[in-house]
Amino acid sequence: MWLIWYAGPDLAASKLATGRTPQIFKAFRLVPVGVQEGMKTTVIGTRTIDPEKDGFFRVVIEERKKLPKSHSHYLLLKIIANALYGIFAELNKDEYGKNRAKRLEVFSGEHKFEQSTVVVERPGKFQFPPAAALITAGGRLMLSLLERMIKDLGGTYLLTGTDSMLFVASKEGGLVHHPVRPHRHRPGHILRGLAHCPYNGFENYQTEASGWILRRERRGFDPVRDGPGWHPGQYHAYDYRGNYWSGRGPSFVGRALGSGAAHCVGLDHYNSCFCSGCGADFLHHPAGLSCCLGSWLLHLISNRSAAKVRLLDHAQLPMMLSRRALLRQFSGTVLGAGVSRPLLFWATDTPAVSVPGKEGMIVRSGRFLDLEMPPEFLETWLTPIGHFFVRNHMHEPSTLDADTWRLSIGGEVDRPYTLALEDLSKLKSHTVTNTLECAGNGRGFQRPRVPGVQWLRGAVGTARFSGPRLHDLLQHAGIKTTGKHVMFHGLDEVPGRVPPFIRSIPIEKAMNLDTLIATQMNGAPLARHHGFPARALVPGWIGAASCKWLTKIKVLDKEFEGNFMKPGYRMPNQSISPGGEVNPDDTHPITILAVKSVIAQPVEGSFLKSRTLRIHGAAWAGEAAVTRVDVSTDSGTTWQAARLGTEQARYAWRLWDYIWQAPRPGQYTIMSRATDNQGHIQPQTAVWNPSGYLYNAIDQVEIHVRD
Amino acid sequence: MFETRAGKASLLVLLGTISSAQSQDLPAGTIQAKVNTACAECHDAGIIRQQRLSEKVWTKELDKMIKWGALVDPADRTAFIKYLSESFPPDKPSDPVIRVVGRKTR
Repeated sequence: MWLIWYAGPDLAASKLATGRTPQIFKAFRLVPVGVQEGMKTTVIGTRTIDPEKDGFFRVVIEERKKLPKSHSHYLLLKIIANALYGIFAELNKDEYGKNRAKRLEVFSGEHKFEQSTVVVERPGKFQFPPAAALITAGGRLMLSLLERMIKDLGGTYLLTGTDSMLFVASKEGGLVHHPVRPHRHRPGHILRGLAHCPYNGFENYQTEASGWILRRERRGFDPVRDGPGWHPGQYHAYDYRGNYWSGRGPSFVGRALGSGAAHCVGLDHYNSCFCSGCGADFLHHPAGLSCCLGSWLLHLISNRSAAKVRLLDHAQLPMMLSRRALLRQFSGTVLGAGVSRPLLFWATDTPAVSVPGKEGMIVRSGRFLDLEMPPEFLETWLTPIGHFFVRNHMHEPSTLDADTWRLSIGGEVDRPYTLALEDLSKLKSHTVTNTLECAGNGRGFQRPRVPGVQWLRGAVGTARFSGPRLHDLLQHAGIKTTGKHVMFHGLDEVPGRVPPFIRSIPIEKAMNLDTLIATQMNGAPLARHHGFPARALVPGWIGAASCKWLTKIKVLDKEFEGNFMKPGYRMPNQSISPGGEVNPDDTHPITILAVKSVIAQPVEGSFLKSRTLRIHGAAWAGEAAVTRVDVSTDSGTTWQAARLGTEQARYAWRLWDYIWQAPRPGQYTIMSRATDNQGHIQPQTAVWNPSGYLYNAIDQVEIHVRD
Repeated sequence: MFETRAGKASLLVLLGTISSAQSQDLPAGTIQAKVNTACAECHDAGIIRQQRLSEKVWTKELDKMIKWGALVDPADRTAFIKYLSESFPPDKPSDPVIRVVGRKTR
C-alpha cells in the first residue's frame, strides 16, 4: 500500500494553485492528548529550556537570531531547528552496487510504476509522515499563497524551497527572456517578470494578510541597491551558508541549484527577489499554528477501493498532546527523551485501541469514545474508575484547565454568578452513591435493530459521587418564580453542524437534595473521561442527564429545546409496534431508569467445567429500590430467589448471586429478573422504541456445562 | 527556515509505505472511500460497522448526518444508502468486539 500524506493546508494550497479541490479518499485528525512524560530540561546557548513550559523551537530560533551568521553555533541551531521536524521525515540512503540494483515501486499521486535503482532510501527510526505532513503543509500553503500572488501580479517564479520562493523581476516587468534552465523551464523559455520592486505590490498583500505571512529577504542581486556592477551572462547566488557565488553560463546555475543550497540566484539583466515564510514566526503565529497543527491530515491511497490504514485518533494516540504542547513533544524527541510508543504504532497491523486506565474495556466507538464494561468486570458494588463505562456524544474537551475553568449560574435567577473550581471545593460537599446507566444500555438486544451505539450489558456502573448540592448553588442565586427547568451545558466539542449537547432537568429534580455538582468519583477528582473538573449528577436518572465537563447552569422557564431533549432521549407516549414510526410530538423525555438486572457471570456462550456454579450480577431500579432478584436456570419455567448483597444505597444497584448445581451436563439458558419496591418487575420483552432506550428485558445467557 | 535540502527530504517522505490488515475498516466497494471520508470526520469505522439496519433506517441516519454536516455529494446519496444497507443489513451477524489494549486494571 502506497500513500501520499497531505494535511489540511494542502487543500487550500491546491485550490489556490489550480482552482480545483482534491478528492479526499480518507481523512483523519490527529487529536493531541496529554503531555509526554520523561522530558528533561536542557540548555541551549544561554537559555535553559523546560519542555513543560518553553517552546523549544522558539528558543532555538531566538537564540539563533542573536548570533552573527559567521558564528559557529548559528548553523548548529539551524540544524537543530530543522531536525525538529526533520526527524519525522528522516530517510537514510542505502547504496547498492550497480550490479545489485533493487526494484522499487514508485507512487506519485495516482500513478504507480516500477523502476530499478541502486539507491534506496529507508525510513528513519522516528519517521512519522503524518506529523511531517502537518508541518510541511504549512510551508506548502505559503508557497501557494506566494505563487498565486506572483501570478496575480503578472509574474512567475523560478524555483521554491520548502517555504521560500525565488521569483523573477525586471525593471519594466513583462516578458523576460530566460537564458538558462534554472528549474523546470526550458532554455530560451520566456518568463513573465514582475515589474521592478515588486514589493510595492506585496505591500497590499501584506496588509491583507495581516502583515505576518511574508518576509522579504533582499538577498537577491538588486541593481538599485547594488549598483550596475554586473554583466550580461553573469549569475549570482547565495547558498544556505550565506556564501555568495558568482559565475557565468548555465552550468553555474545548474551547480548552484544542484547543491540543493541556492537561496537566490540573480540573473543577468533582471534580478530576483527572495521571499520566504516567516520561519519560527509561522509556527508561533496563532493562525499558522492552528492551520498547521490543528489541521486535518489526509492521505491519498493508491488503491481507492481498499483504504487500509487505520484511523489515528485520540484513543490510539494517547500521547499526542495539546496543540500547545505539540512542540514540547518534538523538543522531547530532539532532547533524546525518546518518542512515545504510540507515535510509532501508526503502521502496525493490529487494530489496537489504547486508552490508558481503561484497559480491557469493550470499544463500542473509538471516536467519539464510547467504552462498555464487559460483564465479567462486574465484581464489586462500587465500580473501579478503570471499569466505569464512558459515553461521549462528541469530542472530549481538548483542553481542561482547572485554573481557568469557571461555572456560571444564571438564567431565571435573581443573582447570577460564576464560580472557580476553588470556590466550588469550599462549598459543603455531599456524597451520593449512584448507579449511572446510559439510556441506550442494552440497545444491541433490541429487535428489530435500532441505530445507535450497540451497547449490551455494560453501559452502567456504580460510584460514589461527591460535590456540592445543585440545590445550594441555585438557592444562592435565588430562583425566580419563572424558573421551571435547569439546563446543563458542558465543554463537549461539537463537530460539524451537530447540535450542542445541552440538556435540562425539571426544577424539582434539580432542587432535590441528592442532585449534585460532582467533582469527585470514588474519592478521587473526576477523571477526564468522566467529566473533569465537574459534572452534574442526577441520581436515579439516565446518564445523559448528568452532563459532563459542566461550565454553565441556566435556569429556564421551560424545558430546554434542543436535539438532545427532542427528538433525542424521548419515549413514545403510546405503545408502538416494533419497527413502527413515532410522532415526535407524542413523546415524553426519559428521566428515571427502569427496573433491571444483568448477569455478570457466567458470560454468554461460556463452557463450564464445574457443575456447581455461582450465578451473579447486579440489579437496579432508578429512584426505586430493588427488593428481589429471581433466577431461572430452565429458560424461565421456574424461578428461584437470588441472595441480595448487603451493600446498598438509595440510588445504587444491589449485587446478587445464586449458587446452582447443574443437574447434568448440557446447554442451559440462565435468566435473571428484578423486582422493585414500587411493584415494577423486569419484563419479558422491553418496550420497543426507535432509539432503543431503556432496554430492560429479563437478562439471559446461554451456557454449556461440560462433563 | 526550511532550506532546499529539507524540502527534498519532505518530498521523499511522500514515498513512505504502509501495509495494514485492518479489520476495522469499511468493506470494499466503489463508494467506500467516499463513505469513509464523509463519516471519518467524526466517527471511526467501528460505530458504522456495528449497525445492522434496514435501508429505510440507514436512509434516515444518513440524512441526519448530512443535516449535521457530513459532506456527501447529493449525487452520491443513493450510492451511500445502497452501500451501507448492503454492507450492514439487519440479518448480518455482529462483528467480534474490540477491547482496549492492555491488561485489566483495578
